[in-house]
Amino acid sequence: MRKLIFALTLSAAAFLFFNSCSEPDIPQGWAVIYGVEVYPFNNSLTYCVDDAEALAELLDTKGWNVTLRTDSDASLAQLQTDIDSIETMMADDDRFLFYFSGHGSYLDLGGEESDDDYDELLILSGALTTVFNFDSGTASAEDVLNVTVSDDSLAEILSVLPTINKTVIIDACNSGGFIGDGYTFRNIASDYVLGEAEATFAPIEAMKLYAGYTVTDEDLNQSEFAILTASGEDEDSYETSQLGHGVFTYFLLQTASEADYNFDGYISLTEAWKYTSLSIDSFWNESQWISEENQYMANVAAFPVDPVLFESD
Amino acid sequence: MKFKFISLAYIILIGTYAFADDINFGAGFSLTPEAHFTEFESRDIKTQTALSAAVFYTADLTDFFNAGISLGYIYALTSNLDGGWSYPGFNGIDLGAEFSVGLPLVKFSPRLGGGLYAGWYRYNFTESYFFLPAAEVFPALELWDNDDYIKIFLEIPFKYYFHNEASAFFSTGIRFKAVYR
Repeated sequence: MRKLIFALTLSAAAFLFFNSCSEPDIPQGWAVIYGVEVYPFNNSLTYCVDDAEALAELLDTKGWNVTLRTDSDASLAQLQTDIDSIETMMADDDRFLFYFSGHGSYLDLGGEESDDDYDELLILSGALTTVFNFDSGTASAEDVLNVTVSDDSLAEILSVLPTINKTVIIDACNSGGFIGDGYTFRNIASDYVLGEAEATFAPIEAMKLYAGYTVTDEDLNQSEFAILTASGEDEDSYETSQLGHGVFTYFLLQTASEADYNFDGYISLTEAWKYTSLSIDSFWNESQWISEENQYMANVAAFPVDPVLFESD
Repeated sequence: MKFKFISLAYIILIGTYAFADDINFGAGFSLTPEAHFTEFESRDIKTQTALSAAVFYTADLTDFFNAGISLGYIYALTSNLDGGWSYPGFNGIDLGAEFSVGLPLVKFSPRLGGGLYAGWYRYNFTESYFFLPAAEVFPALELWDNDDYIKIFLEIPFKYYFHNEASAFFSTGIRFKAVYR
């Protein structure tokens, strides 16, 4: 019996040793926040600048170095300038976060793209006219890529940053299409409603992925980026006057006080996903006013590394 | 194919012995506080504490050889946040085929065991699933024996997970195993 007590004590000590808590060493953070709501042809949005400004303020209070661009300042050329500027200032182990709130879309731009052959796009300031012209055949794919941010070009733009701690958060339609390949099976359908009808058995899908996993350079590769998006690849995301924000961003802003699920004093990207997805589900999808085709779900890919967003309140 | 053949052979072996009269059968459970060591390319190695529990069915096929099957559950916590990131926690189940060998007819003798596992896991707080096969070796020591009806073992498992992406993904811990025969 003495041997048993000794062994139990030893194991408890080992468990406590490996689980011991000390203040984590969190490096400096650099955030680039873009919000665009003024678009031509009656396509303007209402709350994207509010989204961007509120998140910028939150990150600023949490110690991030924030660069905020809205509407006409939020262009592709400006984004490249901002990234180049941060690249000269940041250390190798610093954290980086890019956030966008605005229109998202997808087009077949002719490249070898992910499963559905489409490029997902962030429609920056002044870009919507070119997208429409591409649809009508008066602009080329190159013209579109010169004014928008595609899933592939975002990876390229951010590749100049020396850090490996890169996080991308997007509140836009079709934003789930920015998530590239990874070794986990994400059991969230690209279309929330359709996915429920065609639900797969996750353990079997996980086995298939293990057996047939290959990494490609399409979209934002999960080994290089941690990604949180408002919606799936085939879904729209929404804003509402009831919240005064995009629905996803409204709940993202609450995570500092609501999402510390593991009580470690910090909010990680997966915790932010859990809170935002549960909140979108209860506030939006389960509302009697929302039709099935307008339901959507946030997506996350933070594997193998889950970045810290900020300290909890 | 080879895996299917080995699995089938293992089940037949257990099944055949199950009809023998002189086989001692046992069932039990185990509890393992453990540490996972995780490392991905370009990242530091970090530890994750975990607690796993399993139920198992076992058979003493000979005086010195024992084999069985197990069903386990593990809950691993997130690693530390140094660097502004962590390896996320995960939880899931695994199915295992285990064996151990020891000196025949010697009470409280040390044993050596091993096992092969198939595990299905989900990252905590997410809907992201992954599958990992694993192999384990463990030295074992019999701590307590109640006239051969109940035995308690202490084991030190070393489990290696065959992860496609990780440059290191393994665990060790202290396992308490109770067997009722």
